[in-house]
Amino acid sequence: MQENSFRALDDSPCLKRLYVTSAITADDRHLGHNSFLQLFFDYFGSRKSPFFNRLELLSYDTALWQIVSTELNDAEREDMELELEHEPLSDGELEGLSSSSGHSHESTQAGNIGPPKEDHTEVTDDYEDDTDDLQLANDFRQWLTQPECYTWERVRSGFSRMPLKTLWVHYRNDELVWTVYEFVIGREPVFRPEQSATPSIHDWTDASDEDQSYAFQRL
Amino acid sequence: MFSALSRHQLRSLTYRHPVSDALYLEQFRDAIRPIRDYPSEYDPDTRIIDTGNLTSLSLYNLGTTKTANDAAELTFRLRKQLKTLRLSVASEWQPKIETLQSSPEFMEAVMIYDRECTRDKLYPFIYPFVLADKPEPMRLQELELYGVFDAFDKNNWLCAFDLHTIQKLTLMHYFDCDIGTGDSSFWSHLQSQAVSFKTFKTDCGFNEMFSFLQSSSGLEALFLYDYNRSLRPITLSGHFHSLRKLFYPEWSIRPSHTTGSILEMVVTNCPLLEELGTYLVEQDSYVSCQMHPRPLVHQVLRTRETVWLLTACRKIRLEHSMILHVLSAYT
Repeated sequence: MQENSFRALDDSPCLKRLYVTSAITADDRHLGHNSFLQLFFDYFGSRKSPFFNRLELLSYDTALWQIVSTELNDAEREDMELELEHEPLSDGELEGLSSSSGHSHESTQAGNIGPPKEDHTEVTDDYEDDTDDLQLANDFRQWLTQPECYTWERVRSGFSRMPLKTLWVHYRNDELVWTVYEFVIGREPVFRPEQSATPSIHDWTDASDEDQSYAFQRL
Repeated sequence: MFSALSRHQLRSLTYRHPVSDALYLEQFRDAIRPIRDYPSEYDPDTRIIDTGNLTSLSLYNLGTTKTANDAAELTFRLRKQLKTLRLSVASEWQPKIETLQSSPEFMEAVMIYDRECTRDKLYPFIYPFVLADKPEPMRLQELELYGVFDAFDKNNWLCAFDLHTIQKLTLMHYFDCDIGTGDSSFWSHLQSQAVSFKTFKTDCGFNEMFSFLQSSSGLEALFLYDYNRSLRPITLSGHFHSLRKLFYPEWSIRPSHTTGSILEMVVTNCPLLEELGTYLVEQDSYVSCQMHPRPLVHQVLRTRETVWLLTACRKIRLEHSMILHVLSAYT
Protein backbone atom coordinates (compact mmCIF):
# COMPACT_ATOMS: atom_id res chain seq x y z
CA MET A 1 0.00 0.00 0.00
CA GLN A 2 1.42 3.41 -1.05
CA GLU A 3 4.62 1.60 -2.00
CA ASN A 4 4.88 3.34 -5.34
CA SER A 5 4.85 6.71 -3.65
CA PHE A 6 7.27 5.67 -0.93
CA ARG A 7 9.64 4.15 -3.49
CA ALA A 8 9.62 7.42 -5.42
CA LEU A 9 10.36 9.40 -2.25
CA ASP A 10 13.23 7.09 -1.44
CA ASP A 11 15.06 8.31 -4.56
CA SER A 12 15.00 11.97 -3.60
CA PRO A 13 18.49 13.47 -3.43
CA CYS A 14 17.94 16.09 -0.71
CA LEU A 15 14.31 16.07 0.45
CA LYS A 16 14.24 16.98 4.15
CA ARG A 17 10.62 17.81 4.85
CA LEU A 18 7.56 15.98 3.63
CA TYR A 19 3.99 17.15 4.09
CA VAL A 20 1.26 14.74 3.00
CA THR A 21 -2.14 16.38 2.92
CA SER A 22 -4.05 13.15 2.32
CA ALA A 23 -3.53 9.57 1.27
CA ILE A 24 -6.13 7.49 -0.50
CA THR A 25 -5.87 3.74 -0.67
CA ALA A 26 -6.77 1.57 -3.63
CA ASP A 27 -10.12 0.76 -2.04
CA ASP A 28 -10.97 4.47 -1.76
CA ARG A 29 -10.25 4.89 1.92
CA HIS A 30 -8.74 8.00 3.43
CA LEU A 31 -5.92 6.83 5.67
CA GLY A 32 -5.97 7.92 9.30
CA HIS A 33 -2.99 9.44 11.06
CA ASN A 34 -1.96 6.25 12.80
CA SER A 35 -2.34 4.09 9.73
CA PHE A 36 -0.22 6.42 7.67
CA LEU A 37 2.51 6.61 10.29
CA GLN A 38 2.62 2.86 10.65
CA LEU A 39 2.78 2.37 6.89
CA PHE A 40 5.52 4.95 6.62
CA PHE A 41 7.65 3.39 9.33
CA ASP A 42 6.95 -0.14 8.19
CA TYR A 43 8.35 0.83 4.81
CA PHE A 44 11.28 3.07 5.75
CA GLY A 45 12.12 2.05 9.31
CA SER A 46 13.66 -1.26 8.48
CA ARG A 47 15.71 -0.29 5.43
CA LYS A 48 18.76 1.84 4.87
CA SER A 49 17.24 4.86 3.22
CA PRO A 50 19.18 8.11 2.75
CA PHE A 51 15.85 9.90 2.48
CA PHE A 52 14.65 8.51 5.80
CA ASN A 53 17.95 9.37 7.52
CA ARG A 54 17.71 12.91 6.17
CA LEU A 55 14.04 13.49 6.98
CA GLU A 56 13.53 16.04 9.75
CA LEU A 57 9.82 16.92 9.49
CA LEU A 58 6.81 14.87 8.44
CA SER A 59 3.14 15.80 8.39
CA TYR A 60 0.03 13.90 7.52
CA ASP A 61 -3.35 15.59 7.38
CA THR A 62 -3.54 17.61 10.61
CA ALA A 63 -0.68 15.85 12.41
CA LEU A 64 2.92 17.02 12.44
CA TRP A 65 5.94 15.06 13.60
CA GLN A 66 9.59 15.79 14.02
CA ILE A 67 11.65 12.82 12.92
CA VAL A 68 14.41 12.45 15.47
CA SER A 69 17.34 10.12 15.86
CA THR A 70 16.99 7.34 18.43
CA GLU A 71 20.63 7.53 19.39
CA LEU A 72 21.02 8.90 22.90
CA ASN A 73 23.44 11.59 23.82
CA ASP A 74 25.36 11.43 27.08
CA ALA A 75 22.84 13.47 29.04
CA GLU A 76 19.93 11.37 27.82
CA ARG A 77 21.79 8.16 28.62
CA GLU A 78 22.44 9.40 32.14
CA ASP A 79 18.77 10.29 32.56
CA MET A 80 17.78 6.88 31.34
CA GLU A 81 20.05 5.08 33.77
CA LEU A 82 18.85 7.23 36.63
CA GLU A 83 15.27 6.57 35.76
CA LEU A 84 15.79 2.84 35.46
CA GLU A 85 17.21 2.75 38.98
CA HIS A 86 13.92 3.93 40.38
CA GLU A 87 10.55 2.33 40.40
CA PRO A 88 8.09 3.86 38.01
CA LEU A 89 5.61 6.28 39.47
CA SER A 90 2.15 5.01 40.19
CA ASP A 91 -0.87 6.67 38.65
CA GLY A 92 -1.67 8.37 41.94
CA GLU A 93 1.81 9.81 42.19
CA LEU A 94 1.66 11.01 38.63
CA GLU A 95 -1.63 12.75 39.28
CA GLY A 96 -0.18 14.32 42.41
CA LEU A 97 2.74 15.66 40.46
CA SER A 98 0.44 16.94 37.78
CA SER A 99 -1.86 18.75 40.18
CA SER A 100 1.07 20.30 42.05
CA SER A 101 2.39 21.78 38.84
CA GLY A 102 -0.61 24.08 38.76
CA HIS A 103 -0.91 24.19 34.99
CA SER A 104 -3.45 22.10 33.18
CA HIS A 105 -1.36 22.10 30.03
CA GLU A 106 1.63 20.64 31.83
CA SER A 107 -0.47 18.07 33.59
CA THR A 108 -1.84 16.89 30.27
CA GLN A 109 1.63 16.43 28.91
CA ALA A 110 2.84 14.60 32.01
CA GLY A 111 0.01 12.13 31.68
CA ASN A 112 0.83 11.41 28.09
CA ILE A 113 4.55 10.87 28.31
CA GLY A 114 5.83 7.54 27.15
CA PRO A 115 4.10 4.29 26.31
CA PRO A 116 0.62 3.46 27.59
CA LYS A 117 0.44 3.37 31.37
CA GLU A 118 -0.69 -0.20 31.63
CA ASP A 119 2.53 -1.31 29.94
CA HIS A 120 4.79 0.87 32.02
CA THR A 121 6.01 -1.78 34.47
CA GLU A 122 6.53 -4.35 31.79
CA VAL A 123 8.44 -1.89 29.70
CA THR A 124 11.15 -1.51 32.30
CA ASP A 125 11.43 -5.25 32.76
CA ASP A 126 11.52 -5.94 29.07
CA TYR A 127 14.26 -3.45 28.57
CA GLU A 128 16.43 -5.03 31.22
CA ASP A 129 15.85 -8.59 30.14
CA ASP A 130 15.64 -7.96 26.42
CA THR A 131 14.12 -11.40 25.98
CA ASP A 132 11.10 -10.92 23.83
CA ASP A 133 11.91 -8.97 20.69
CA LEU A 134 8.57 -9.70 19.10
CA GLN A 135 6.75 -8.33 22.12
CA LEU A 136 8.95 -5.25 21.97
CA ALA A 137 8.11 -4.71 18.33
CA ASN A 138 4.42 -5.03 19.06
CA ASP A 139 4.73 -2.66 21.97
CA PHE A 140 6.42 -0.19 19.71
CA ARG A 141 3.74 -0.39 17.09
CA GLN A 142 1.13 0.12 19.72
CA TRP A 143 3.13 3.01 21.05
CA LEU A 144 3.37 4.56 17.60
CA THR A 145 -0.36 4.96 17.67
CA GLN A 146 -0.14 7.12 20.75
CA PRO A 147 -0.01 10.86 20.22
CA GLU A 148 3.18 11.42 22.20
CA CYS A 149 6.48 9.59 22.03
CA TYR A 150 9.12 10.78 24.42
CA THR A 151 12.73 10.61 25.63
CA TRP A 152 14.91 7.58 25.99
CA GLU A 153 12.19 5.03 25.55
CA ARG A 154 12.40 5.53 21.82
CA VAL A 155 15.68 3.61 21.77
CA ARG A 156 13.71 0.42 22.28
CA SER A 157 12.08 0.66 18.91
CA GLY A 158 14.99 -0.84 17.03
CA PHE A 159 14.53 1.90 14.43
CA SER A 160 17.18 4.48 13.84
CA ARG A 161 14.67 7.33 13.81
CA MET A 162 11.39 8.04 15.52
CA PRO A 163 8.42 10.38 15.15
CA LEU A 164 8.00 12.99 17.85
CA LYS A 165 4.67 14.74 17.63
CA THR A 166 5.00 18.50 17.58
CA LEU A 167 2.80 21.55 17.23
CA TRP A 168 2.24 23.53 14.07
CA VAL A 169 2.52 26.75 15.99
CA HIS A 170 6.21 26.07 16.57
CA TYR A 171 6.68 26.58 12.84
CA ARG A 172 4.55 29.65 12.47
CA ASN A 173 7.36 31.52 10.75
CA ASP A 174 8.07 28.76 8.28
CA GLU A 175 6.16 29.58 5.14
CA LEU A 176 5.54 26.13 3.74
CA VAL A 177 4.72 24.53 7.10
CA TRP A 178 2.20 27.24 7.83
CA THR A 179 0.74 26.96 4.36
CA VAL A 180 0.18 23.25 4.89
CA TYR A 181 -1.37 23.94 8.27
CA GLU A 182 -3.79 26.47 6.83
CA PHE A 183 -4.68 24.07 4.06
CA VAL A 184 -5.42 21.04 6.24
CA ILE A 185 -7.26 23.09 8.87
CA GLY A 186 -9.07 25.43 6.56
CA ARG A 187 -10.47 23.05 4.01
CA GLU A 188 -14.01 21.89 4.25
CA PRO A 189 -14.44 18.56 5.99
CA VAL A 190 -15.86 15.64 4.06
CA PHE A 191 -19.59 16.15 3.83
CA ARG A 192 -21.55 13.59 5.77
CA PRO A 193 -25.20 13.59 4.74
CA GLU A 194 -27.96 12.46 7.04
CA GLN A 195 -29.86 9.35 6.15
CA SER A 196 -29.87 9.63 2.41
CA ALA A 197 -32.34 7.93 0.13
CA THR A 198 -29.70 7.49 -2.54
CA PRO A 199 -27.48 4.50 -1.80
CA SER A 200 -24.71 5.63 -4.12
CA ILE A 201 -24.02 8.63 -1.92
CA HIS A 202 -22.54 6.34 0.71
CA ASP A 203 -19.89 5.17 -1.70
CA TRP A 204 -17.92 8.31 -1.28
CA THR A 205 -18.89 9.37 2.24
CA ASP A 206 -18.08 6.11 3.97
CA ALA A 207 -14.33 6.62 3.93
CA SER A 208 -13.92 5.59 7.52
CA ASP A 209 -10.75 4.96 9.47
CA GLU A 210 -9.94 4.79 13.12
CA ASP A 211 -9.53 8.55 13.43
CA GLN A 212 -11.74 10.01 10.75
CA SER A 213 -13.29 12.38 13.21
CA TYR A 214 -11.61 15.50 11.83
CA ALA A 215 -11.22 16.68 15.38
CA PHE A 216 -8.59 19.16 14.47
CA GLN A 217 -5.76 19.79 16.82
CA ARG A 218 -6.22 23.04 18.65
CA LEU A 219 -3.23 25.31 19.06
CA MET B 1 -1.02 53.34 20.02
CA PHE B 2 0.72 54.68 16.93
CA SER B 3 1.58 57.98 18.56
CA ALA B 4 3.51 56.05 21.22
CA LEU B 5 6.04 54.92 18.64
CA SER B 6 9.11 57.05 18.33
CA ARG B 7 9.85 58.76 15.05
CA HIS B 8 10.69 56.49 12.13
CA GLN B 9 10.42 53.43 14.36
CA LEU B 10 7.66 51.73 12.40
CA ARG B 11 9.02 49.55 9.60
CA SER B 12 6.27 46.97 9.19
CA LEU B 13 2.54 47.24 9.85
CA THR B 14 0.10 44.35 9.89
CA TYR B 15 -3.55 44.89 10.70
CA ARG B 16 -6.24 42.25 10.54
CA HIS B 17 -9.71 43.76 10.59
CA PRO B 18 -12.42 42.06 12.62
CA VAL B 19 -14.88 39.87 10.76
CA SER B 20 -18.36 41.27 10.35
CA ASP B 21 -21.51 39.29 10.92
CA ALA B 22 -22.08 39.08 7.21
CA LEU B 23 -19.39 36.40 6.94
CA TYR B 24 -21.28 34.19 9.34
CA LEU B 25 -24.51 34.88 7.55
CA GLU B 26 -22.93 33.59 4.39
CA GLN B 27 -22.13 30.33 6.11
CA PHE B 28 -25.44 29.98 7.91
CA ARG B 29 -27.96 31.38 5.53
CA ASP B 30 -30.89 30.30 7.63
CA ALA B 31 -29.85 32.48 10.53
CA ILE B 32 -31.99 35.58 10.75
CA ARG B 33 -29.83 38.35 12.10
CA PRO B 34 -29.24 41.88 10.90
CA ILE B 35 -25.98 42.43 9.10
CA ARG B 36 -23.89 44.49 11.48
CA ASP B 37 -20.54 45.96 10.57
CA TYR B 38 -17.86 46.10 13.19
CA PRO B 39 -17.38 49.48 14.87
CA SER B 40 -15.11 51.67 12.83
CA GLU B 41 -13.45 53.16 15.91
CA TYR B 42 -11.33 50.02 16.10
CA ASP B 43 -9.72 50.78 12.77
CA PRO B 44 -6.26 52.28 13.00
CA ASP B 45 -6.06 55.94 12.17
CA THR B 46 -3.51 55.79 9.40
CA ARG B 47 -3.18 59.57 9.26
CA ILE B 48 -1.22 59.75 12.50
CA ILE B 49 1.19 56.93 11.67
CA ASP B 50 4.73 58.05 11.11
CA THR B 51 5.41 56.15 7.93
CA GLY B 52 8.90 57.42 7.25
CA ASN B 53 10.53 53.99 7.37
CA LEU B 54 7.50 51.83 6.69
CA THR B 55 8.39 49.34 3.97
CA SER B 56 5.99 46.49 4.71
CA LEU B 57 2.22 46.95 4.80
CA SER B 58 -0.25 44.10 5.44
CA LEU B 59 -3.96 44.81 5.71
CA TYR B 60 -6.27 41.84 5.97
CA ASN B 61 -10.02 41.34 5.78
CA LEU B 62 -10.91 44.80 4.53
CA GLY B 63 -14.67 44.86 4.56
CA THR B 64 -16.05 48.37 4.58
CA THR B 65 -15.78 51.29 2.22
CA LYS B 66 -14.10 53.40 4.90
CA THR B 67 -11.35 50.91 5.66
CA ALA B 68 -10.81 50.24 1.97
CA ASN B 69 -10.50 53.94 1.24
CA ASP B 70 -8.09 54.41 4.14
CA ALA B 71 -6.01 51.49 2.91
CA ALA B 72 -6.02 52.77 -0.65
CA GLU B 73 -4.96 56.22 0.48
CA LEU B 74 -2.18 54.80 2.65
CA THR B 75 -0.95 52.49 -0.09
CA PHE B 76 -0.80 55.30 -2.60
CA ARG B 77 0.99 57.58 -0.14
CA LEU B 78 3.66 54.93 0.46
CA ARG B 79 3.98 53.87 -3.17
CA LYS B 80 7.64 54.86 -3.48
CA GLN B 81 8.91 53.20 -0.34
CA LEU B 82 6.90 50.01 0.05
CA LYS B 83 8.73 46.74 -0.60
CA THR B 84 6.03 44.41 0.67
CA LEU B 85 2.28 44.75 0.24
CA ARG B 86 -0.34 42.28 1.42
CA LEU B 87 -4.06 42.94 0.96
CA SER B 88 -7.11 40.81 1.47
CA VAL B 89 -10.78 41.74 1.23
CA ALA B 90 -13.72 40.16 3.00
CA SER B 91 -15.63 37.90 0.66
CA GLU B 92 -19.01 39.49 1.30
CA TRP B 93 -17.86 43.07 0.80
CA GLN B 94 -18.87 44.94 -2.33
CA PRO B 95 -16.92 48.16 -2.92
CA LYS B 96 -18.85 51.29 -3.76
CA ILE B 97 -18.37 55.02 -3.85
CA GLU B 98 -20.17 56.95 -1.14
CA THR B 99 -21.02 60.38 -2.50
CA LEU B 100 -23.73 62.99 -2.51
CA GLN B 101 -22.71 64.50 -5.84
CA SER B 102 -25.08 63.90 -8.71
CA SER B 103 -23.59 65.77 -11.65
CA PRO B 104 -23.73 63.80 -14.94
CA GLU B 105 -19.92 63.75 -15.26
CA PHE B 106 -19.47 62.44 -11.78
CA MET B 107 -22.18 59.82 -12.23
CA GLU B 108 -20.40 58.54 -15.29
CA ALA B 109 -17.20 58.19 -13.27
CA VAL B 110 -19.16 56.33 -10.59
CA MET B 111 -20.56 53.97 -13.20
CA ILE B 112 -17.08 53.21 -14.48
CA TYR B 113 -15.86 52.70 -10.93
CA ASP B 114 -18.73 50.32 -10.14
CA ARG B 115 -18.18 48.38 -13.34
CA GLU B 116 -14.49 47.94 -12.58
CA CYS B 117 -15.30 46.89 -9.03
CA THR B 118 -17.58 44.12 -10.26
CA ARG B 119 -14.64 42.83 -12.30
CA ASP B 120 -12.02 43.40 -9.62
CA LYS B 121 -12.69 43.78 -5.92
CA LEU B 122 -9.18 45.11 -5.42
CA TYR B 123 -9.87 47.99 -7.79
CA PRO B 124 -10.35 50.55 -4.97
CA PHE B 125 -6.68 50.10 -4.06
CA ILE B 126 -5.55 50.49 -7.64
CA TYR B 127 -7.90 53.37 -8.42
CA PRO B 128 -5.53 56.15 -7.23
CA PHE B 129 -2.80 54.77 -9.49
CA VAL B 130 -5.18 54.64 -12.45
CA LEU B 131 -6.21 58.25 -11.85
CA ALA B 132 -2.63 59.51 -11.63
CA ASP B 133 -1.51 61.58 -14.60
CA LYS B 134 1.91 60.02 -14.70
CA PRO B 135 1.95 56.27 -14.02
CA GLU B 136 4.15 55.45 -11.04
CA PRO B 137 3.79 51.74 -10.40
CA MET B 138 5.08 50.43 -7.10
CA ARG B 139 8.41 48.63 -7.28
CA LEU B 140 7.54 45.92 -4.78
CA GLN B 141 9.57 42.87 -3.94
CA GLU B 142 6.68 40.98 -2.43
CA LEU B 143 3.01 41.22 -3.38
CA GLU B 144 0.22 39.19 -1.81
CA LEU B 145 -3.37 39.71 -2.91
CA TYR B 146 -6.29 37.70 -1.55
CA GLY B 147 -9.74 37.90 -3.11
CA VAL B 148 -8.80 38.16 -6.78
CA PHE B 149 -11.51 38.13 -9.41
CA ASP B 150 -10.99 36.19 -12.60
CA ALA B 151 -11.96 39.19 -14.68
CA PHE B 152 -9.67 41.91 -13.37
CA ASP B 153 -8.24 44.28 -15.95
CA LYS B 154 -4.51 43.75 -16.28
CA ASN B 155 -4.00 47.32 -17.53
CA ASN B 156 -5.23 48.67 -14.20
CA TRP B 157 -2.83 46.42 -12.35
CA LEU B 158 0.06 47.51 -14.53
CA CYS B 159 -0.60 51.08 -13.42
CA ALA B 160 -0.06 50.03 -9.81
CA PHE B 161 2.57 47.26 -9.90
CA ASP B 162 5.88 46.93 -11.65
CA LEU B 163 5.83 43.19 -12.23
CA HIS B 164 9.52 42.94 -13.05
CA THR B 165 10.66 43.83 -9.53
CA ILE B 166 8.41 41.35 -7.77
CA GLN B 167 10.23 38.30 -6.46
CA LYS B 168 7.38 36.81 -4.48
CA LEU B 169 3.86 36.85 -5.90
CA THR B 170 0.76 35.48 -4.21
CA LEU B 171 -2.64 35.63 -5.91
CA MET B 172 -5.13 33.68 -3.86
CA HIS B 173 -8.87 33.19 -3.45
CA TYR B 174 -9.20 33.43 -7.17
CA PHE B 175 -12.87 33.28 -7.99
CA ASP B 176 -15.38 34.18 -10.64
CA CYS B 177 -17.37 37.37 -10.63
CA ASP B 178 -19.71 35.87 -13.18
CA ILE B 179 -19.99 32.61 -15.00
CA GLY B 180 -17.67 32.36 -17.94
CA THR B 181 -16.18 35.84 -17.88
CA GLY B 182 -12.68 35.03 -16.75
CA ASP B 183 -9.96 37.15 -18.28
CA SER B 184 -6.63 35.37 -18.63
CA SER B 185 -4.77 38.17 -20.41
CA PHE B 186 -2.77 38.94 -17.27
CA TRP B 187 -1.02 35.58 -17.53
CA SER B 188 -0.42 35.98 -21.24
CA HIS B 189 1.12 39.36 -20.47
CA LEU B 190 3.46 37.82 -17.90
CA GLN B 191 4.49 35.25 -20.47
CA SER B 192 5.08 37.78 -23.24
CA GLN B 193 7.10 40.06 -20.94
CA ALA B 194 9.25 37.15 -19.73
CA VAL B 195 8.46 37.94 -16.10
CA SER B 196 9.81 35.50 -13.56
CA PHE B 197 9.49 35.14 -9.81
CA LYS B 198 11.38 33.39 -7.04
CA THR B 199 8.25 32.40 -5.12
CA PHE B 200 4.83 31.96 -6.64
CA LYS B 201 1.57 30.97 -4.96
CA THR B 202 -1.86 30.81 -6.55
CA ASP B 203 -5.10 28.91 -6.79
CA CYS B 204 -5.80 30.16 -10.30
CA GLY B 205 -6.70 27.42 -12.75
CA PHE B 206 -6.33 29.15 -16.12
CA ASN B 207 -4.51 27.32 -18.88
CA GLU B 208 -2.62 30.55 -19.51
CA MET B 209 -1.31 30.49 -15.94
CA PHE B 210 0.14 27.04 -16.54
CA SER B 211 1.56 28.20 -19.88
CA PHE B 212 3.26 31.05 -18.04
CA LEU B 213 4.71 28.60 -15.54
CA GLN B 214 5.93 26.44 -18.37
CA SER B 215 7.58 29.34 -20.17
CA SER B 216 9.27 30.89 -17.15
CA SER B 217 12.22 29.61 -15.17
CA GLY B 218 14.08 30.06 -11.91
CA LEU B 219 11.28 29.46 -9.41
CA GLU B 220 12.55 28.43 -5.98
CA ALA B 221 9.19 27.93 -4.29
CA LEU B 222 5.91 27.03 -5.97
CA PHE B 223 2.52 26.64 -4.27
CA LEU B 224 -0.28 25.42 -6.53
CA TYR B 225 -3.80 24.99 -5.22
CA ASP B 226 -5.83 24.21 -8.31
CA TYR B 227 -8.04 21.29 -7.42
CA ASN B 228 -8.93 20.21 -10.89
CA ARG B 229 -5.72 19.79 -12.74
CA SER B 230 -2.93 17.30 -12.77
CA LEU B 231 0.53 18.68 -12.38
CA ARG B 232 2.19 17.87 -15.65
CA PRO B 233 5.95 17.32 -15.79
CA ILE B 234 6.39 19.79 -18.62
CA THR B 235 4.90 22.57 -16.47
CA LEU B 236 7.87 22.45 -14.14
CA SER B 237 10.58 21.73 -16.66
CA GLY B 238 12.02 25.25 -16.49
CA HIS B 239 12.22 25.15 -12.71
CA PHE B 240 13.71 21.73 -12.12
CA HIS B 241 17.17 22.99 -11.22
CA SER B 242 16.08 25.83 -8.94
CA LEU B 243 13.03 24.45 -7.13
CA ARG B 244 13.51 24.04 -3.38
CA LYS B 245 9.89 24.03 -2.17
CA LEU B 246 6.87 22.58 -3.90
CA PHE B 247 3.28 22.35 -2.69
CA TYR B 248 0.46 20.77 -4.68
CA PRO B 249 -1.96 19.49 -2.10
CA GLU B 250 -4.96 17.99 -3.87
CA TRP B 251 -5.80 15.40 -6.41
CA SER B 252 -7.32 16.23 -9.73
CA ILE B 253 -10.74 15.25 -10.97
CA ARG B 254 -9.33 13.13 -13.71
CA PRO B 255 -5.65 12.53 -13.13
CA SER B 256 -3.58 11.83 -16.18
CA HIS B 257 -0.71 10.72 -14.00
CA THR B 258 -0.66 8.60 -10.89
CA THR B 259 0.85 10.25 -7.86
CA GLY B 260 3.70 7.77 -7.95
CA SER B 261 4.79 8.94 -11.38
CA ILE B 262 4.44 12.63 -10.46
CA LEU B 263 6.45 12.10 -7.32
CA GLU B 264 9.08 10.23 -9.26
CA MET B 265 9.23 13.05 -11.78
CA VAL B 266 9.60 15.68 -9.07
CA VAL B 267 12.14 14.01 -6.84
CA THR B 268 14.37 12.74 -9.61
CA ASN B 269 14.41 15.95 -11.62
CA CYS B 270 14.68 18.52 -8.84
CA PRO B 271 18.11 18.07 -7.26
CA LEU B 272 17.62 20.96 -4.82
CA LEU B 273 14.13 20.07 -3.63
CA GLU B 274 14.12 20.14 0.18
CA GLU B 275 10.44 20.49 1.03
CA LEU B 276 7.48 18.82 -0.63
CA GLY B 277 3.79 19.06 0.19
CA THR B 278 1.64 16.66 -1.74
CA TYR B 279 -1.11 14.06 -1.68
CA LEU B 280 -0.78 10.34 -2.16
CA VAL B 281 -3.26 8.31 -4.15
CA GLU B 282 -2.76 4.63 -4.52
CA GLN B 283 -2.22 3.62 -8.09
CA ASP B 284 -5.32 2.49 -9.96
CA SER B 285 -7.52 4.31 -7.49
CA TYR B 286 -10.22 6.44 -9.07
CA VAL B 287 -11.40 7.99 -5.85
CA SER B 288 -9.97 11.22 -7.15
CA CYS B 289 -12.99 11.49 -9.39
CA GLN B 290 -15.32 11.22 -6.46
CA MET B 291 -14.07 12.80 -3.27
CA HIS B 292 -14.62 16.52 -3.43
CA PRO B 293 -17.12 17.61 -6.08
CA ARG B 294 -19.96 15.27 -5.36
CA PRO B 295 -20.58 16.24 -1.76
CA LEU B 296 -20.77 19.85 -2.80
CA VAL B 297 -23.17 19.12 -5.64
CA HIS B 298 -25.25 17.00 -3.32
CA GLN B 299 -25.39 19.83 -0.82
CA VAL B 300 -26.29 22.31 -3.50
CA LEU B 301 -29.01 20.13 -4.95
CA ARG B 302 -30.70 19.96 -1.59
CA THR B 303 -31.32 23.69 -1.85
CA ARG B 304 -33.13 23.16 -5.15
CA GLU B 305 -31.75 26.40 -6.50
CA THR B 306 -30.39 26.14 -9.99
CA VAL B 307 -28.27 29.26 -9.69
CA TRP B 308 -26.40 27.82 -6.81
CA LEU B 309 -25.84 24.62 -8.71
CA LEU B 310 -24.45 26.40 -11.76
CA THR B 311 -22.22 28.61 -9.65
CA ALA B 312 -20.91 25.66 -7.73
CA CYS B 313 -20.29 23.69 -10.91
CA ARG B 314 -18.44 26.60 -12.38
CA LYS B 315 -16.30 27.05 -9.31
CA ILE B 316 -15.26 23.44 -9.13
CA ARG B 317 -15.23 23.09 -12.91
CA LEU B 318 -17.16 19.88 -13.06
CA GLU B 319 -17.32 18.12 -16.34
CA HIS B 320 -20.70 17.96 -18.03
CA SER B 321 -20.86 14.20 -17.87
CA MET B 322 -20.43 14.24 -14.12
CA ILE B 323 -23.11 16.90 -13.68
CA LEU B 324 -25.55 14.88 -15.75
CA HIS B 325 -24.68 11.76 -13.80
CA VAL B 326 -25.35 13.44 -10.47
CA LEU B 327 -28.51 15.12 -11.75
CA SER B 328 -29.86 11.82 -13.01
CA ALA B 329 -29.51 10.38 -9.53
CA TYR B 330 -31.85 13.02 -8.21
CA THR B 331 -34.52 13.13 -10.88
